[in-house]
Amino acid sequence: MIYIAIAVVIFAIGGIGIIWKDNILLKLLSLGIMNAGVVVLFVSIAGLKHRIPAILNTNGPYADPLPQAVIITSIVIGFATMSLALVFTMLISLKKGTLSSKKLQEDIDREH
Amino acid sequence: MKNIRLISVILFGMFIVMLLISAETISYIQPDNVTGAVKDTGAINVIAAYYLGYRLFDTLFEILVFTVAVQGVVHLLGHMPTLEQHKPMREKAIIIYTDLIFGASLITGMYIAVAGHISAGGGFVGGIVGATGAVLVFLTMPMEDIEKEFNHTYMAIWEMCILATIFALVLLPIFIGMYPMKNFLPLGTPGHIVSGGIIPIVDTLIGIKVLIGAVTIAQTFIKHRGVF
Amino acid sequence: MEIVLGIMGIVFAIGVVLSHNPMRAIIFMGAFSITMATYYYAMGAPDVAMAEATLGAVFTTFIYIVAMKHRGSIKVAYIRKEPFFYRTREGFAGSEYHLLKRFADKNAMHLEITRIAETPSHKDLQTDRSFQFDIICGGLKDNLSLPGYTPLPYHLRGFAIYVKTDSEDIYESLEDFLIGDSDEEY
Repeated sequence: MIYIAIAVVIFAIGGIGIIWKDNILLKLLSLGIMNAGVVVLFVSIAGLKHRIPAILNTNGPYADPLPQAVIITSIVIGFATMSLALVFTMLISLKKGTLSSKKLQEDIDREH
Repeated sequence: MKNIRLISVILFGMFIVMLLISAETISYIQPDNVTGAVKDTGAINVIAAYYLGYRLFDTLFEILVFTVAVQGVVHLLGHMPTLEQHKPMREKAIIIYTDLIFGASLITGMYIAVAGHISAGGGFVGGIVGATGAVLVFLTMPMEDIEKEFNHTYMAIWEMCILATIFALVLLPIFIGMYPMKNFLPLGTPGHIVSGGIIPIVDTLIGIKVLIGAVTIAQTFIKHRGVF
Repeated sequence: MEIVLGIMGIVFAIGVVLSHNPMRAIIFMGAFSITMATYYYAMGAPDVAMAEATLGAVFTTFIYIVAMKHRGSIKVAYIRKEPFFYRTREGFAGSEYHLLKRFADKNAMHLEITRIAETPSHKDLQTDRSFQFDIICGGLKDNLSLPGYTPLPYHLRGFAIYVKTDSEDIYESLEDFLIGDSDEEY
């Protein structure tokens, strides 16, 4: 139970960061924390009962391999999509000259 | 360009139609326990048996997402101004050290990728470990040398060739009368390096693909931003 | 042990969210990744732990630091005055232009240059909401009074570059740059 609580708390911290921070770069970092929270949830569920990795040259009751296999590809994909998001951030900073979401919102309001 | 688009639509449509036609014969076996997975795929790392055996379809499209993200980074950063002054570290000791680390990390990454079915690791991890050394080398090289030795066009061509090879390897069983994504090679003795049918081959190809993608991302960022 | 690692991870995550300096947040993020990699290993997922350790320690940190370098553009207004700041057919030239160009290259910033009239009036410098330009230059004496701008003297005695008072980071880094510059070459 406490392992799932850890995952939920990390996910919630990331979400609070996304809402609370003003700088877009720091918002992206908070999104990375949310991503890690999801990974922690899957790995925690896999290791709730037994914690021996499911590589069958060892004995014993193994951790559930299915959640681990689901989540292992998503880490690398998350890195690739995160660098794409960073490129968008850099384009915004080049065009608007600021990374503050408040100032960007003011810019949009003034244009309309 | 339009022809290429048409060809890709036709090829992908054929792929999907073949999948639909053979849908009755595909049986996604859910093993009762982990020893069943070893019997089915021949890989003693059950995690690799899952994501390259039962869930290979999912993994293929994750590779496609990775490719699209890398191409997006290259394309969008291409519109931004490049940095005029690129000041690498040119100390002799650092250069020799990073070159040594480059070879070591490349070989380690490829080992992790090739041996993904008998120990922890796999293609995704191996590619990233291999690319770490390349990032270290980028800190010490002038931009012209980086562009000459890690030529972006060649890397993109290799990346696409490997992607095509993975898809061809996965579709090959159709032409010899089996359902797609079947592990058609002999499974061998579980625990040996030559075992698991196509799993080590697909793992190695994914490793090279992720390595090229990660190196491309790092190279593009350095080209437009410089190091530190 | 897993619980301790998880609580350490929570602490580092709070550190990322609470830090205002992006550099500090990125370093916290690296620490968080390594802690989480150890947690995955302890929970019996060595494959996931390897991926997280390599990505979090090297790649994410590296990409973020490289991306963070670029802080945007500096808006420069100049008054045309021949040896200081002028425009030729090839582009901009002049001593103050080269000074600012070297400053911008060093900080990976981008110069946005606008020409303004000979005597900068209040209306030129101010739009409806806020001050428009970060830097005003072009052979200005250091005893003018431009509202909202602070003079920053450089190696030519009696002349100054005017920097917007609000933008403290540009002011401080430009001041450091000008002091270091005069030590090295003049």
